[in-house]
Amino acid sequence: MNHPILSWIVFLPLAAGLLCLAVPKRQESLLKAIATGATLLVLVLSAWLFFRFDPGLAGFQWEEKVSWIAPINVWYHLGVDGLSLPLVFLTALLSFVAVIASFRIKERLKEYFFLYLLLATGMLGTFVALDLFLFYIFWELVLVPMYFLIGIWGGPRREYAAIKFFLYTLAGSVFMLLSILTCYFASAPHSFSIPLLIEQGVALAPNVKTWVFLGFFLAFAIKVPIFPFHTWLPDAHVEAPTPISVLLAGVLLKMGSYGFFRISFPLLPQEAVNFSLALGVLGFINVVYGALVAMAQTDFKKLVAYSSVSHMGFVLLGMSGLTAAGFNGALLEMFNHGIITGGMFLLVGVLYDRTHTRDLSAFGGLGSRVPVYAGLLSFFALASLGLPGLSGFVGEFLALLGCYPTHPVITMLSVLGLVLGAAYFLLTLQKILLGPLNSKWAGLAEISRREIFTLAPLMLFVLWFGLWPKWILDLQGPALSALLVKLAVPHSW
Amino acid sequence: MTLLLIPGLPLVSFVILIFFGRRLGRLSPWVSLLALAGSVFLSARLFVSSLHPFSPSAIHFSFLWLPLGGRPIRLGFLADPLSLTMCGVVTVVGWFIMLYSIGYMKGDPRFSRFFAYLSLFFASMLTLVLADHLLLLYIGWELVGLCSYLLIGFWFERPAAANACKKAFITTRIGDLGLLLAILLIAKTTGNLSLMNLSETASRLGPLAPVAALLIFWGAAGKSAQIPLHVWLPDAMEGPTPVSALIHAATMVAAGVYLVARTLPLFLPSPDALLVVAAVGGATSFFAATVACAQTDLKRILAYSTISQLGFMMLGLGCGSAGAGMFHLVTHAWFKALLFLGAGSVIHALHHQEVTRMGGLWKAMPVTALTFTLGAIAMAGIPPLSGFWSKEEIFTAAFGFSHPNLPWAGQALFGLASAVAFLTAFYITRAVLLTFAGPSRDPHAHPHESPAVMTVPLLVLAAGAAGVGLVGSPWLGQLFQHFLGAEAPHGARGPQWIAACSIAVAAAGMGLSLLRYGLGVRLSPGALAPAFSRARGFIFEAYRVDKFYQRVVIDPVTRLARAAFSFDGRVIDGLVNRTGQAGLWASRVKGWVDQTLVDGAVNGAAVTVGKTGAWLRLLQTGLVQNYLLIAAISTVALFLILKGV
Repeated sequence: MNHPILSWIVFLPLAAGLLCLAVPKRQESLLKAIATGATLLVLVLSAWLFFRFDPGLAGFQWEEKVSWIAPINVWYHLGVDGLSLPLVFLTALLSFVAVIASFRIKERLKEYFFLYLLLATGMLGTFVALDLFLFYIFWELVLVPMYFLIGIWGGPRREYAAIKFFLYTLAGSVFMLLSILTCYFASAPHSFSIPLLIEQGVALAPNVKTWVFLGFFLAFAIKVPIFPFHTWLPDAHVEAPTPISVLLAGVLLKMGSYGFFRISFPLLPQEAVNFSLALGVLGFINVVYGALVAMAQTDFKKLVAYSSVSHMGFVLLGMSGLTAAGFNGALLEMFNHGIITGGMFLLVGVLYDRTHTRDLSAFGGLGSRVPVYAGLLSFFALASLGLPGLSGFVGEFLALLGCYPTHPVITMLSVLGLVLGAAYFLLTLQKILLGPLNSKWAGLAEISRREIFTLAPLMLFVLWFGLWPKWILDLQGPALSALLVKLAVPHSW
Repeated sequence: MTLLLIPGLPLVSFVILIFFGRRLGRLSPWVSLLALAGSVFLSARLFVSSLHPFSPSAIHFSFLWLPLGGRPIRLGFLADPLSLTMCGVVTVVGWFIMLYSIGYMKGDPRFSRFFAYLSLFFASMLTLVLADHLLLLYIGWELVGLCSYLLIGFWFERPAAANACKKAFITTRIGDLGLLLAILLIAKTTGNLSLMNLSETASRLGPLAPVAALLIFWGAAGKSAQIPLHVWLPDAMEGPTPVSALIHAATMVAAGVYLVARTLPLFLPSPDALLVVAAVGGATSFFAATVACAQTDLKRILAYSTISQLGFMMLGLGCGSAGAGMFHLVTHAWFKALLFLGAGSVIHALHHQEVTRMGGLWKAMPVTALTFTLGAIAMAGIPPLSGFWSKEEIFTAAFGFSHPNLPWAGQALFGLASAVAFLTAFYITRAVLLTFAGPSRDPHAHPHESPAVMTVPLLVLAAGAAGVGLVGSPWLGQLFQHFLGAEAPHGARGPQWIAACSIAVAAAGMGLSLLRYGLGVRLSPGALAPAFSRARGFIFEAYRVDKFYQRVVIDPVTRLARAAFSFDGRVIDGLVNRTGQAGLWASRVKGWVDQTLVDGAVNGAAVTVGKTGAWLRLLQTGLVQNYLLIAAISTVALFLILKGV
């Protein structure tokens, strides 16, 4: 590939962010225009990748490889395959949507957009980096702007939430760094290159490999988040401003599960097989425990946050199955959760902006007052509870289908999550939309055009992948099949 | 492609109405009626062509939906006698119910939304019916559940409707888990989820076939409101009455029966699985019939009657006869839709549904009264109306049922079925008499007959309720059963006396009801009255199953959720915070150590050097005798040390 299109995608936001710094503080519309323009361009470029990607080719596409720090053999190495491309597109889509949703931010817009665009670069870079060193840099790069975005623009407990998020994730990253270094020194010649390390295999004693796997596991598990490392999530989600919650849930959680697919599994296939049962059990706990805790919530945003824990459990279940259906389901569920929960957070924000409360018992009967909002909220809630015809179902079904042959009992227990999911989402809809109208909200304003505009693209994909999942499965399937071959498990489905 | 259009046309109508419904206003129903008419026409054409000899796979259309490595999932639509039968019932009965809705829903603020939802329902239901694959069936299955949710909660401002729609969705979803698990089990074991060649699938499942079959039945029990998942259906009556007629009587709730009929090859190898279906169906049927006898809300009487009749169909299927179950499904769709629409007509006129406040309506509402009575007689099972023929099929199937270890199972099921038939005749006659006969019990009521848009569907459905049974009657050589190709005609044993028995039971039920509610004869001896009224209270509350579930399921789950949340906050997050605090504390300790000890040591070192120097300076007196003294003492000390003292 001649054009360094991936570099463009990754560094356009950063360039725009630096440009924002040069703009006078008061020119708010210019700042908004720069941020919108940059993220829109990134979206267009990644859409172009999405359509031009050839799933038939093995390996990576649009690869860029330049020596960077020669003495320690660090390369600036980017590339996408069927595994990362959906996530690059997801990140681009949500970054754009969340910029539009950021227009309501009033304070320190300049700093906000600088940090926001820096965050975008970090997220996009994580998904295209093919060098562990580079991956680690992007991974850590995400933390800093996120810390400030929560800590400055967040809710009442923003400082606690921000520092908790930062320290928790950083603690995980330390172990990842140790694992990366172990892999680096185990290879000859020493290399950080992910494809190379996969090809060579990590030449270490089995028990050392287990520790390496666990090091990666800890970093990724905190990010996903896997029970019991999940408690940073409700705090961070609730305190973060709406657009940042969208990115947190939509993209940051996926960095964790992407790590499993990109690094842990192919680098340490035997350990992945050994850990399959543990991963399945953790998936079950995430699904059912997350749903139960979500059911007990009185805060709308916290409920959505815990529903994320439950949904990410399906991703884990799909992964633990070590089957084509399971892997496809997990990856699809990652994408779906991004757009569906992203949409849910936007809708929580819409309501909060108008009512300044998220207490579920404070609403009631809004369905008759704001029918369009009610329709959109019902749509995303139904997608989230896995209604067929919408994309959430396909991901969850495939994850279960793929987990069942490997862990039948775990799968049978996990389907309980589907009933619990229906229960807490329908209860939420009832509390907010149904019943007689709470007179307090008799003057509530309907959802605005701008807000609908942020939701429309997400709805489009929820419907598209719900009705016609073949398109994205065709795209991601070959990469996942190759990974399965690597794992060398006898696979059905 | 024609097949795709049958559910496709209502889907198009849904899309049009959801986006342009408000602008279309009063034209909305005609969009959906036209679309559904298209589906009626297309199914009729397939129906006609299928009357000629054809192979079930002849009308089949499929496409790749999930490409999954070596095992792609292809979904498709299939028209065979079973699906075409169901298709015909859904589209034709549905069309008239939709027509009726124009009158019933007139003036509702969400008028066009109602028809949008109905269209979505038809699209989903027809997908379910025509699916050639368990996964596609499951998709339609869940989507009809959504439509049921939306339509029960159509008047969502009413708290009762808001509760009922949630209850319906969650309860049926508990059932859906069974179907989902069956899908996972069949997929893993056979790798083939197609609904064609199910007997081959059954043989490949081997000993797992009954397990899969019972999981499917669990799903069917949710949708068709069988014990123990029946609790949602009576509450579903909070929806508009045409919805009750269409979804909660004629079509959607019958989907469970259809599913069992469709997957019957999985049940057939195992007499135990069949017996479970028959027993659950029979028990539900009897239970719900008793409850129907005690209700005073016209729609709730019909709701329990629906549960009972669905149980009756399951009983027929459990006896291994898809023909009997499906035949009753068809006749029931007609007479129960008619009864519900008749009830709707009454409610439309009176604005309440308590039979204790009705009476004497036949004068003001002759068409409604006449058609409702006809539907009641059809359901009671008086020949030659439709219910008689299908019930007789079920009686025959029950009598012929044989189980290797329980030789009396057939007789027991037959007895149960007869009891149900008796109760059915009793409660429906009671409903007719309390509603239409005698003097009016409400002086303030000003009933009026409904408009033609409502009475014409009543008349059409009445004609169907009367006549549709003939297609399966011996008079026409059991055409319907042959069309389904389900089983060979029954042996010579006893259809004659079974028919006589069936008529006698129905007549007894009607007669007793007539004595009690028509002529006012007190049937219970005075001495038993207190016990009787206590029992009636218990039965009236449907055996208090709802309260039981509240105590045993809902409350514990709620408590568990709260406990999990508090565990999450106190223990897990507590641990995180504790770790954070420990880190903070450790860093404070370290800070103190740094300041006091380490820094202190550095500083202290300087101080020590200084002090030591000062102290040593004392020794350096510059006086030789002092030096000599020190040297001497040191030598002695050294000597002593070296000597090992």
